[in-house]
Amino acid sequence: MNALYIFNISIFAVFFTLFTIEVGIALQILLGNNKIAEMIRYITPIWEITGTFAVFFVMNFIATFPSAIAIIGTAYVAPLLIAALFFIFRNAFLAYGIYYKGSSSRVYLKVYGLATLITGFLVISVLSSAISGFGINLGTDSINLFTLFVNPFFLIILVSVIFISLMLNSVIFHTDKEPVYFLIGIIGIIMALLDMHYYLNYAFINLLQGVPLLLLVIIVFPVRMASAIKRSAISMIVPFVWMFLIIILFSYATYPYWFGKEINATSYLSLTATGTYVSYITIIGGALLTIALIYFVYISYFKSKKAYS
Amino acid sequence: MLSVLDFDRFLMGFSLGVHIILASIGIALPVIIILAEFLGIRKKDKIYTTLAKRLSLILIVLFAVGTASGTLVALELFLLWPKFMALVGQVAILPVYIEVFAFFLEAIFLAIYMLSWDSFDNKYVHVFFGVLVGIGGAASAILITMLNSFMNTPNGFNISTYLSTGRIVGVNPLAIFSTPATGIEVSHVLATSYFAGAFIFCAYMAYRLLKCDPKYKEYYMKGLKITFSLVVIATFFSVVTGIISINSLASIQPEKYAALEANLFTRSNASEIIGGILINGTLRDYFSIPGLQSALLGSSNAVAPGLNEFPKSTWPPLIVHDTFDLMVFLGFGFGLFVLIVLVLQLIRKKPFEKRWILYLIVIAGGVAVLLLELGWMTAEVGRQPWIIYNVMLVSEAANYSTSIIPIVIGLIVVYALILPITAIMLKMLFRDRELSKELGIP
Repeated sequence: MNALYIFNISIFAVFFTLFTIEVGIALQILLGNNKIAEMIRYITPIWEITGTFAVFFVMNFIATFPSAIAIIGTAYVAPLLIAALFFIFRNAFLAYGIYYKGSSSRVYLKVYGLATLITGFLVISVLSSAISGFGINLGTDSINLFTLFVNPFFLIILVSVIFISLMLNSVIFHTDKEPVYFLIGIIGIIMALLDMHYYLNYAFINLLQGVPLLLLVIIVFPVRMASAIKRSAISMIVPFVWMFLIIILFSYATYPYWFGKEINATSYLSLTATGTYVSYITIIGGALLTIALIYFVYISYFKSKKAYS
Repeated sequence: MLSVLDFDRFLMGFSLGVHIILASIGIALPVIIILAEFLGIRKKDKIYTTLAKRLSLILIVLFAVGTASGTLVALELFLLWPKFMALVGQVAILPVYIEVFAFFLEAIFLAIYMLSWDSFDNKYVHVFFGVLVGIGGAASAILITMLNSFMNTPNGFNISTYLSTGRIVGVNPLAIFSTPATGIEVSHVLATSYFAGAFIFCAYMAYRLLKCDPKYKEYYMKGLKITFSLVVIATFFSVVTGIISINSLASIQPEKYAALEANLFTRSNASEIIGGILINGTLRDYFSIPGLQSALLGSSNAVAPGLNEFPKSTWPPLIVHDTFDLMVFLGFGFGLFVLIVLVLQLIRKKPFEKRWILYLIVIAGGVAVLLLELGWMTAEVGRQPWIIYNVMLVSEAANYSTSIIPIVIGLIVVYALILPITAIMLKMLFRDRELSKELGIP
C-alpha cells in the first residue's frame, strides 16, 4: 500500500476514533446520563483536538488525492456544508456550556449534543456513500439526498457506530451496566461486518486477511475489562487504541476502492513531487504531534492542578 | 437574478470576512495574555495575572468559534472551488498542510494553558505555553497567507503547459514559499492582524474605563496600556508594509495596481488619483495630486501601469479604487491618532485619563475592524476575475451545484448570528465571575 494512502487512513482513524467517542458523549448528554460531569471533564481538553484532526484529514485528503477533489467536492457539497454548519454550533455551544456556570449551561450542552449528532449523521452518510457508492451518481457528480440518507448500508453503519460509541463511553466512564453496553458494542461490530459482507463482499474478504489483527483487537477488550487494570490510567487509552485499530482494519478492507468498486482510489493519488514532500511533512509533523499529544495527555489528565474555568 | 457562482462567491467572501476578525483576535490576543501574565509574575501584581486569566477565557471561547469558522473556510475552499483546490493539491498545498500542524500547536497548547494555571513551581513554564499558542496562531497566519500569495503570483509549475494542455508538469512544491508576493504579503497580513486584533481589545479596555466602577480603574488601565503598546508597534509595521505592498503590486500585479490607483492609461509622472467613479470609460468626480503616484514608485519619471495594457474582460471591478482610497485614508488617520496618543503618553500628559481620547479609542476599535475588512476586500476583489492570477478564472474553478443555494443562505444566517451570540455569551460569562473577587478587593 502506498505510504500516502497509509497516512491518510491513519489520520482518518485518529479523527474518527475521537469523533466516535464524542458521538457517544453527545448521546449520553441528550439522554441525561448521570456521568455527564465526568464526560465534560474528559471532553474539555480534547474537543479542539478532535476538530483539528478533522481539518488535518481534509487537508491530507486534498494533498493525497488532489484530482479526486472535483468529484468529492462537487457531489457532496450539500451534506458537507450542512455538517460544517452544525460543526459551528458544536464548537460554540460546547464552549458556552463548559465555561458558562449559570443554570442554562445544561441547555447549551444539549444543543452541543444535538449539533454533534447531526454532524455525525452527515459525516457518516458521506463516508458510507464514498465507501459503498449508495446515493452518488458518478456520471453527473451529483447525489440523491434521499438515497444518501435512506439506504441499508448507511443505516446499518450508523447504528453500528452508535452502538460502538456507547460501548466505548461505557468503558471510559465506567457507566452503569457496563457489560450490557459491551454486548451492544459487540452487536455493533457484528452488524458492521454483516453489512460489509452483504454489500461490499470484496472488502469482507479483505477483512478476513486481517484475522490476526482482528483477534488482537478482540482480545484487547477483555484484558481491559479485567478488574486489575480497570481503573488504571492505561485503561483509558485502551478504548482509543481499540477503536483506532478497528477503523484501520475496516479502511484496509475497502482498499483500494471507493464508491463500491466503481473507482480505484490509487488512480487519484498525488503523482507530483508534492506527494513526496507531503509524506516527509506527515512523518516529521506526525512525530512532533505525537510527542505534543503525549505531553498534553500527561498535563491534562495527570498533572493539571487547577484549570481556570 | 443571482447565479450559483454569485452564491459561491458571496459565501466565500462572507465566511472569510467573519473569519479574519476571529483569526486576527486569535493572533493578537495570545500576545496580550502573555504580556499580562509575564508582568503579573515579574511585578508580583495580581491585577496583571487576573487580566491574563480573564482574557484567556475570551480566547478559548473565540477560539472555539474561530476554529469552526476556519474549518468551514477550509471545507468551502474544496467544496466551492474544487478545480482550484485540485491544482493547489498538486502544486501549492505544502504551506496549507504545514498550517495544520501550526493549528495543532495552537489547539494543544491552548488546552494545556487553560488547564495548567498554577501547576508549575516555575511560573514561566506556563507563560511558555502561552508563547507556543502565540507562535501557533502567527504561524497559521503566515502559512495561509502563502497560499494567497500563490493565488496572486503563481509559480512552482509549468504555467504555459497548463494553460495550453491542462496538464500539471514541472512541479516544484517548495516554490510557493517564495513567490514574488510572499514576503511582503505575509509581513503586511501579520502586522495588520496584530493591529486589528489588539485594537479590538484596546477599544474594549477603553470602553470599560469609561463605564467601570472606580475600584476597577487600575485593572482596565493596565489592560489598556498593554494593548495599546501592541497597537503602536503593529500600526508602525502595518503602515510601512502597506506602502511597500502597494508599490510592489506595480511590478508583480500591474493590473490590480492599475485598478487600485484608477489608472486608465500607463504613464510616467503619474498623479495620485483620489476618489472618482468610472462612467462610460471616463473617470469622474475625483481629485488628483500631480506627480505623487510616480514619486511613491521611486521617481517622478517612474511609469505607473494602466488598465489600457490589459483586456477589459480581465479588469477587476473598479470599486476597488474606492475601497483602497478609503483604506489608505483611514489607515493614515489611524497612524496619526496612534502617534498623537503615543506622544502624549511619552510627555506624560496621561492621555488615557482624558475621556475624549477614550471615546476616540472605542470608535477606533470599530474602524480598525473596518480597515481590516477593507484591506482584504481590496486585495481579493482586486484579483478578480482570477482565482489564480493569469492561470485560472474564478468561473472556471467554481462548483455549479444548485443544491448549495439554500445551504449558503442558512450558513450566512448562522454566521450572522453566531458572533453576536458569542458576544452576549462572553458578557454573561463574565457577569458570573465577579472581578472584585478575582482581584481580591471588596
